[in-house]
Amino acid sequence: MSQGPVPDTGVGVADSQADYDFSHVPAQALDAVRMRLAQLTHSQAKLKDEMARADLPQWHSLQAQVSIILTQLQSLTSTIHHFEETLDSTVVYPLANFPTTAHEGLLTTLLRKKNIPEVDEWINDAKETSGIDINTASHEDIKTALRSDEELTKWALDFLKQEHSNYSYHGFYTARELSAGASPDTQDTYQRAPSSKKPKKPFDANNVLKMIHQGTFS
Amino acid sequence: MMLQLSLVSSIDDASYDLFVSTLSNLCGNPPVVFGNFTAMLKPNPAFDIEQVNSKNQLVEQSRIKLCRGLPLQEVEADNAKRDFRLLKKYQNDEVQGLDLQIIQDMLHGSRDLDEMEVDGGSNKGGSGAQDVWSLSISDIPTAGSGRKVSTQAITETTVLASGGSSPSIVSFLSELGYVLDFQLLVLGIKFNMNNGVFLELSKIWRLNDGRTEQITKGGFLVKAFVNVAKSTDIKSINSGTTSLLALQKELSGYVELEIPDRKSMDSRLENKNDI
Amino acid sequence: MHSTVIFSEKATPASITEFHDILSNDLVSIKEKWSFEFKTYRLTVKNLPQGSSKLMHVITFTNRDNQSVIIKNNSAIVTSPATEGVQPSLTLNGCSAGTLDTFDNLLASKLSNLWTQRQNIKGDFGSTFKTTELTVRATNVFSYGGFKGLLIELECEDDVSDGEFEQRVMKIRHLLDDMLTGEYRVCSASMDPKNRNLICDLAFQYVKVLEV
Repeated sequence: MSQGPVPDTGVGVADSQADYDFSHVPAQALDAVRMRLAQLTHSQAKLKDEMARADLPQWHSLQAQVSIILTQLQSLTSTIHHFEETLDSTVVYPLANFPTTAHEGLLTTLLRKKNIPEVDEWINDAKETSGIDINTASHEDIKTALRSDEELTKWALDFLKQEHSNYSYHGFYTARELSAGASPDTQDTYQRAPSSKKPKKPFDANNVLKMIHQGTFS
Repeated sequence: MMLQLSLVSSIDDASYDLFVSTLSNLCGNPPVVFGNFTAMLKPNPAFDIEQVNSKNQLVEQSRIKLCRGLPLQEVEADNAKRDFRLLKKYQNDEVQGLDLQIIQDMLHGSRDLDEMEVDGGSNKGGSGAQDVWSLSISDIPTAGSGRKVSTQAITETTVLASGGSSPSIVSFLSELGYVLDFQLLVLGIKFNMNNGVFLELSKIWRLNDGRTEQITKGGFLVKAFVNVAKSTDIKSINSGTTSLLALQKELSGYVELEIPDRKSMDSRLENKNDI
Repeated sequence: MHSTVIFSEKATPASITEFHDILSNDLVSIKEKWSFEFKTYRLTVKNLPQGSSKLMHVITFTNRDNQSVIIKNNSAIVTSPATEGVQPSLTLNGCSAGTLDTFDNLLASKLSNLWTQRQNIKGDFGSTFKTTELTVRATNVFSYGGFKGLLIELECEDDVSDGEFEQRVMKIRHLLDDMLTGEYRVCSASMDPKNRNLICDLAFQYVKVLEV
């Protein structure tokens, strides 16, 4: 069990601070999560602003932003997963010298674990859209639902891979031509024409010109 | 008087197909086949001709060039086959399909064009026989060590008809003081390279006692040129030069277009004065 | 196609107006103005055979697309400085460089050691009258600024017989007889009666009436 300090509110408790050991605070984990959460909220706020504008931005800009957000989400979940053990066993509690009477409201807000109504609504929405009734569904049902969701994703990926393999992305022949037997280019780029293709001069142009201007045929 | 800017080269018969394909792609169009007959005339050698005119200015004796299109139907009757591939048949001295008598008739008696359609031309019937020729005299190209292209002045007019008793262009020109010197036949293809640049590939035969003899055996004469209407139009001369040089650059490494020797493009008589 | 040319040295610069008045009765319409230029060149070759003609004439008509007829010794050619018209075939076949000059310019710039200009006769801003029978062109003629006389061209585009044309010409000649007391030169000849060429014959008639 590790000790978790109260976030420093700057209230004058100078003397008693020296008695506490803050070395077991999982600062690294918290900081990592905090940073990733900050990035994510920043990106999401930006996207929200963009969508609220009168002129919608270009699709590729939106797509890029969504991409970034997904990456950041990914990064956040893997960070949390990485520090799972640490964070799971972290408990926050106020130190004895916290002025509970003066700042009771602050304390309850900081330590509150219940979701704000807005969040509850989102979670309920998500549960509704999943099509599963959390209350009546068994553990098995939920697992099945999750698995079928994963399978859908897997199917989509496989389909993409399949389609991708139907096309040729390099060289000068289409996939159809290649399967019909066209030899694939060994190189993608043009090569300089070999010098055997250069025309030769069969006669001196000046001699011919002289003939046609002066009639001096040999 | 107009100016013709030009660069020349030559290619061998074996390189013809690739060259046509390359240039067709460069300019975006296939070439046009053409044919012409040229008669060069010189001042009557029996005449004792002054070297100066009435104002005491020195005047060079020039050859006169008479030129007209060849009826290509004679050479290839099938319209569909009359494209650049036609020239691949003409690697030797013979010019198959061409009746040389037609040519002599054109020179020595004005032949009625109702019977003969010259490619690209339209026959305007009406008053008398049509005897259409281009008549021109060209100067020796200008000199200069810093030249990038050849510049040649050409003075030209069109003869529409000949008249009188037994009308013929040759009999008129003999009254003018000019007699036949030599005759040439040209078969070729012409590319319109855009911005006023044309590129011609030609095979040329000399006519000699009823026989034809090819002077371009083994290949083709290549000529890239720009025609500038007014010899005083510096702007057009400069832009024409730029366009020609751009083509030269584009083709360099493949075919090298070069400035022709100006002495080879001098049609004056016997180069008595090396001006 | 027939033509006749009449030239009178006895006329005065005002004669053309008088002629217009006389014609008024038969006048159907008045057409465009026209001009001609008549240049004579002499061959400067020294050793020509005796008795051979040394003169060449170049007649240019503004009303006929600026075409020129060049006549020497019963041989003629017709030239054009017009870049449009016949050119496409010649340009296409590599014969022409696309910019044309007049034959006069060619003579002056390139053949001046063979041919020297001896004479220059002009008719500027002549009038064209159409009667029921003929196209009549009349102009005052000048040479180097001096008035030379009155020239009249008679042309019949209808397909009439020689005799019929001759009659129509006679009618005009009668009018002129009254006006000019019969002193004028007239020529209806053709260079080759078997081979009629309107513009060549017309130019030939000019030569006959203008050359003394």
